Amino acid sequence: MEVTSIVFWLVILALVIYVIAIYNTLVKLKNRYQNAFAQIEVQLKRRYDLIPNLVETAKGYMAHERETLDAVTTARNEAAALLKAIGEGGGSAPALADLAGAENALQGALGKLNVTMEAYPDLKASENMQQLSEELTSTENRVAFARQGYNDAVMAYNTYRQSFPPVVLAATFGHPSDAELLEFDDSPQIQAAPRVSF
Amino acid sequence: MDFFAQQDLARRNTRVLVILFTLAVIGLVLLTNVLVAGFLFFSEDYNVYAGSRGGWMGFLQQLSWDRFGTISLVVIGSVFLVSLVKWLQLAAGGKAIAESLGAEKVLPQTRDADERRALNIVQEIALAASMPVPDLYLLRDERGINAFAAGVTQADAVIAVTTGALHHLKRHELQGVIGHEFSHILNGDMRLNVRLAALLKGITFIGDVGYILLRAGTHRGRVRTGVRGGGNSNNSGAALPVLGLGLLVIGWIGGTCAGFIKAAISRQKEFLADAGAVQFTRDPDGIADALKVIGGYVPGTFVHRARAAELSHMFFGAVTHRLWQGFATHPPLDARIRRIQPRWDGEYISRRVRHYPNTRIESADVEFRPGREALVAAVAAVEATRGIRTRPLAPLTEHPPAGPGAGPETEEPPAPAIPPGLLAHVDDPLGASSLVLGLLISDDPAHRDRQLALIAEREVPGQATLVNTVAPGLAALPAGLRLPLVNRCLPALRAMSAPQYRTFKETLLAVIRADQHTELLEWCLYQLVRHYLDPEFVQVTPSRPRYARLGKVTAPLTEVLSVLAHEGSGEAEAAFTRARDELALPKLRLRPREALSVRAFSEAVHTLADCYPLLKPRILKAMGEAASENGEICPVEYEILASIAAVIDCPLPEDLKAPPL
Repeated sequence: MEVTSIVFWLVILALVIYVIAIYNTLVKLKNRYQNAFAQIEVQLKRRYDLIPNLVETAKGYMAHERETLDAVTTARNEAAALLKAIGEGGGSAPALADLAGAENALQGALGKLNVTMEAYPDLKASENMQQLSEELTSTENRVAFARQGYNDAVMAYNTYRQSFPPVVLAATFGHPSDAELLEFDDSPQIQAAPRVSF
Repeated sequence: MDFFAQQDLARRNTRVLVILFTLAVIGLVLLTNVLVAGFLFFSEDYNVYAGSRGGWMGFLQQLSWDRFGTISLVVIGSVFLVSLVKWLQLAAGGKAIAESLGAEKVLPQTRDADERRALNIVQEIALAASMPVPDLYLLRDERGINAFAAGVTQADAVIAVTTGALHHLKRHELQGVIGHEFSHILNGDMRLNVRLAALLKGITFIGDVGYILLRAGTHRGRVRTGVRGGGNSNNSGAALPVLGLGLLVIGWIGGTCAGFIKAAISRQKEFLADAGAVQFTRDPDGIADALKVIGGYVPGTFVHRARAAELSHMFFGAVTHRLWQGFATHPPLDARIRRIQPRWDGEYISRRVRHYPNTRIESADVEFRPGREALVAAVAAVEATRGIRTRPLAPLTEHPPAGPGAGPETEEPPAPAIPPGLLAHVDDPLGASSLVLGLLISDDPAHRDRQLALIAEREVPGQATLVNTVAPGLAALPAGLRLPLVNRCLPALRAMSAPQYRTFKETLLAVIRADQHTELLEWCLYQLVRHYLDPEFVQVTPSRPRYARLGKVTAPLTEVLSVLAHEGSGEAEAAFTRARDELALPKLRLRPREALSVRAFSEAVHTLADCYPLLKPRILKAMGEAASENGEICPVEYEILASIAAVIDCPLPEDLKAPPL
């Protein structure tokens, strides 16, 4: 074989490998952001699981603040049910909006509980409450970080999809559109972390 | 601060530096070639007829492609060899590196508030970074505020912090520090560093060769001249040291240049990791405040462990002083802060230094350390009461409000009947290992003393006492609860260090062998522990499928099924027939009880482990049939089944799964 034809085939081979690499990277990035989305769900669930503990602990100290505690429990149950429905039925846009609303209500109720707790120094000082406080802070962070991790993963995917050689091939490889960044209608309220101060 | 832009900048700088570094290496190879050619050129005999050495062309003649190839190959080969050695050192994984630095793993069930907080933070950042959660290690008794990440791949990476960092930083600051370490892992800085270090070693290797030549040359020059006549040998005898000197100089210059570039790369990586921390936490104040606290903190970031200096590039802040900034692995603090907060007013944060008493008594860190016997025993006693009081808190990590007594890790239904006095020990490695050993203690007083003596011989502080304490409780434990108890012990056992695990396994074997013969249940327990824990500590070689048909393993099948049939609660012959029918192997015959031994049984099970994967569920199903001859699987049968399943590496079929209580 002549040198030119060897070079020709080598170039072809390199091109094929490059195209395969593009395909694989697209798949990898897509799976990564989808996984990141699933993480948000996991963390929301974790928070819903935590709240009954909080209510339980608080109950012992503030028996006659029933209303506030019940509000938290109700909001939590509602949000948890919605999350479950989304988990079973796939995330449609209105369902996500509902969840965002329920989340909002829950955070409002939690905020109110926190204000009420200020009046109970015993509760604030209890070892249980301090541990819970740490867990709750951590959970709030996790929810936030999971959302942000999702957005970062989406950004990586979109950037790669839109950059030059991949943009030509992406549609053919089954990646026709950008992934959606996570935004809620009431972004400002959601992004404001609930006041957690015991 | 635009952290994405900052990251891009740092990455670009790193790339330029890496290219420079590579160029330096190539330049070095070329220079070496020129030097060797020059050496050969000048040491060639003076040609009387031509009257000269051939001038410039003669020099070029020495620079043949062959020689060029050889020399480059030698240099590159040495670099490759050195990098291989370095790799092997670091391939042991982050865990090994952290342990070699004396760091201790933070257990997931720790009750220390600060450790809890740090563990939570690690999990949070793992979410933000979309990464698996690495283990957290603690460098105890280090006052400096520092942290490091170790491990070449994401899967085996670990993160370690000093106690100074744990106690002096606020939550958001620690978040920044840990985010910084995550960024190191995510960017593969460890790998780059190993490669650069290997290349650097290769370069200095050239200098080493030069040094050897210099020494050998002068030595031989002195001895040989005069002994052997002839211009040739005379000439090269004098020239060899010159070559050596040349190589030495090249190696030295190259090493300095490359070291300089490597340090510059390391500094860029620090900037990149700082920007990464901001990306993960979306909070520039966290990392910036942490740096400011370090600036106002007298012990600084210094770490006093023996190997810390060698691994300095892995740390959050500089481990030791550098006289000259050019070789520093970390940029100066104020430069780092200004990258994050350009309008910083130059004020550090000063925080009250916490003093550490030398003896810290904490229940969470009961560890196998020499010289703490009394302490451990005392803590173990306290633990028994403490554990019960604080237990209701545990579920809040993962579960909705479960009843008191549910542990945080167990997926299995809670075992209500395990006495709390025993449960109090399952969460720390010492307690858990003592429980497992305690299960093996014999009822016979003579054997019992021997076994206890064997345990005491290993000199694991507090263990013998603890085993002695829990043994009566374990002896009274119903058979059905043994397995659940072992399962509860596993998470804590996993937290042992590799040497601790080795000792534990040796002790276990010794205790099993103490009474000269192995009982079936002892075998089961050992196999279970080995199966679940070995992958954590040693390289496990998977079994090689060899037997494609059941017909090839009739002998071991007969052995195993016979044992099950005899040990089970039902009628032996009927049980065996059921299993035989299930397998559709009419030729199998039940062996009499006297013909069976644990050794043969063990060998048979190990042979079965080499069956093709699809055969294994069938075998287990047949065993289940044999075991359930009288309608139910009794605890002893279940224990045997579970350990067989563990050895042949196949999960128990669904209908056999529920542990009968």
